[in-house]
Amino acid sequence: MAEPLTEGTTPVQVANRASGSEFWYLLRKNPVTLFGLIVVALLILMALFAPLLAPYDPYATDPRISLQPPSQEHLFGTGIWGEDIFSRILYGARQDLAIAFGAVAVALVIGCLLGAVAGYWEGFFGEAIMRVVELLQAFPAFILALAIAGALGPSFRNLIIAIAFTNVPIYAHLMRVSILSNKRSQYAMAAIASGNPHWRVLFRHLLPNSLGPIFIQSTLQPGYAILTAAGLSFIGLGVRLPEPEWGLMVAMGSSRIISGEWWVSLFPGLFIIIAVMGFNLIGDGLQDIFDPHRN
Amino acid sequence: MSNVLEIRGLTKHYPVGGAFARSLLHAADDVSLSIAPGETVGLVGESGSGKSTVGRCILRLEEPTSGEILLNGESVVAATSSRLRVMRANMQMVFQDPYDSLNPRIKVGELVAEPLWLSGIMSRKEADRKVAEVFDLVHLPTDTPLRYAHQLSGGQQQRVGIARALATNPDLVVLDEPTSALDVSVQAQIINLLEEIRQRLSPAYLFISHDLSVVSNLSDRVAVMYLGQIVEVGPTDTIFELPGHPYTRGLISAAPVEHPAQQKERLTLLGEPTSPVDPKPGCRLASRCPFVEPKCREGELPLQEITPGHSVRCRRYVEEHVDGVWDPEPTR
Repeated sequence: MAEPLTEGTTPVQVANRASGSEFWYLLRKNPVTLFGLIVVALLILMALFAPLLAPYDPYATDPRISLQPPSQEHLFGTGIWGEDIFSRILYGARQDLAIAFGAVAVALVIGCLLGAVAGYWEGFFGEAIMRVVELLQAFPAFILALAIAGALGPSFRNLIIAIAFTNVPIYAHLMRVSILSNKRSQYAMAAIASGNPHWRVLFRHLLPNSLGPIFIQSTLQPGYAILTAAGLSFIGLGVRLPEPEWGLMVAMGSSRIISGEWWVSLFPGLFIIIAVMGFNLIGDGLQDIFDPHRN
Repeated sequence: MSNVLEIRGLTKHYPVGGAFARSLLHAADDVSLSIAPGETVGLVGESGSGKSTVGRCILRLEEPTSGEILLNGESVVAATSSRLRVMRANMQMVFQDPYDSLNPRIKVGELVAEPLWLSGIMSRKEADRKVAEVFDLVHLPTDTPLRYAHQLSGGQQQRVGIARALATNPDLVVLDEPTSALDVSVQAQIINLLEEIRQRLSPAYLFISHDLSVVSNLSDRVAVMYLGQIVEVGPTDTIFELPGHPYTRGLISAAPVEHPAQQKERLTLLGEPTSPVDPKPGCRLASRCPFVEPKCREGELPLQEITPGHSVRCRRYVEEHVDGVWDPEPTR
C-alpha cells in the first residue's frame, strides 16, 4: 500500500450517512421491523401506565383465592398467595424494561468510551484496553453476569451492573472499529490540520460519525438483557420477592406446572418471549436497513 | 528574504510485512525543498511517488521518520503539540476529496471557523462573524455556512475546503491534488479561484498534483518526485523546456498537446514503477529508463545542481549534458 491512509467509503460510514427520511421510507418497506417497534412501544406504554391498567394491587395477597385459573376477575389467574398475575405482569414490565434499558445505557456509555479511546490511541494503550475487554468476553455472558450478581448480592441495582458488564465488550469493539475507520478519513486529518486537540478530534469530530452501528446494536441488546435479567431472577440472583419481575414469576410457578397450575409460569414466560422477540425484530430489521450490500 | 518553508532531508518510512520479514516502504527519501514567501511550487509525480506523504509530513499530519521541516524558521518536527496548534494557523491544507474532507455532521460554517478560534487568533464569537467574510472570499452564497457538506456540490465543497484553509490567512497552503476529484469545468474554476486568492492574500502554495498542465499554469517552480525521491527541481520554464531527468521527460511527453497539429516526440518509460519497499541502491528509475547504463545502478545518487535553482538526480545527465542539452540514444 503506497498510500497508508485509505480513501473511499467503508460500510460503517455508509451506515453513518443514511439520512432520516430515507430511514422512514425503508422502515415502511420492512413490516417486520415495524411490528417489532409496535410491540416494544406497547410494552413501554404498558410499563408507563401500569397503575392505570392494573385491576389489582400487584403486591396484594389473599390466601383464599390462591392458584385460581384464569377467569374474568383474574385474567391470567392468581398465584400461590392469591396475587393477581395480570397486574404483576403489568408492573413487571416496569422492572424488566428498567433493568434492560438501564443495563444497556450503562454498558453503552462505558463501552463506547473504552472503544473510542482504544480506537483513537492505537498501540499499547488501546491494546491494553481491548485485552481487558476481551477478558470479560472470555466468559459466557450469563456465567459472567451470574458471578457478578452473586458477588454483589441480589438487588435491582446489582442486576443492572451485572448485565451492563456483559454488554460492555460488544459496544467497545463496535466503537473501536468505527473510530478506526473514521480516523482514516480526510475529515479527521482536516480536523487535526484545523488545530483541534486530540480530545476534540475524537469527541467532536469522530464520535458523532461513529454512532450508527452502536445505534443498531442498542436496539438488539435490551432483548438479551431482559433474558439475562429473567434468568438471574429465576435462580434467585436478581430481583427478590415481593417485587414483580417476569423471570422471578416464572420461577415461582415452575414447581406448579406438574400439578396443573400452568398459568402461574406461562403468562410471565410469554411476556419474556414477546419482549425479547420485539427487540430482536427491531435490531435485525435495522441491520438490514443499514446494510450497504442490500441497497 | 527567509523562506516560508524549508524541508531538509525529509524521510518517511513505513514498516511493512510481518514480524519476521521486516521491510521498509520508502514513501519519502531525503526530500529537500524550500518555498519563498508568496511562491508557488508544484510537486508532481505519479500516485505512490510519495508526494502526498511529503505534504502531510510538512503539516505534521504524519510523523516524519527523520529530517527537518522549518516553517518561517521554526521547526515543525520539534514543536510541542500546543505550539503546533498555534503554528497551524500559518500552514494549512486543501485536501483531495472535497466530500470526505468535510465532516458530514458539522455545518460547514463551523468547520471553517475552527482554525480561527482553535489557533487562538480570535474568540469563538469573533470567528463565527469572520466566517461570512471568508465565504465571500471563495465566492460562496451567504447562506452556505449553515449547510452540511452533503447539501453542496463538489465544486462548492472544495470552495469550503479552500475557505477553511485560508481563513487564518496562512503563509503556506499545501494543496493536495485539490482538483483531481472534480469535473474538468469545475477544475478550471477552482484553479482560477486559487490564482485569484494568491493575488489578494499572497500565500505560498505547495501544489501537489499528477497533472502537469495544471501545475505548469500555476507554479513558479516545479519539483518532480519518483518513488519517494525528488528527481528534478527547477523553474517551471526550465523543467518544461529543458527537462534533464528521463522521468521528467517521460512525464512531459505523456501530457496531451494543446493542438492536434502539434507534434512531439514520445519518450516511453518501460514497464511499471518498481516497488517502493526496500529499494535497490542506485537510480530508482534504472529498470524503466531507456537510457540506462550499468553505472546507473551503483551507489547513492545525489540531486546535483546544474544551473542555479535547477537540480537533477541523474548520473548520465550530470556527466554528459552540454549547457543543459542532453540527447542520448536509447541503450535498449
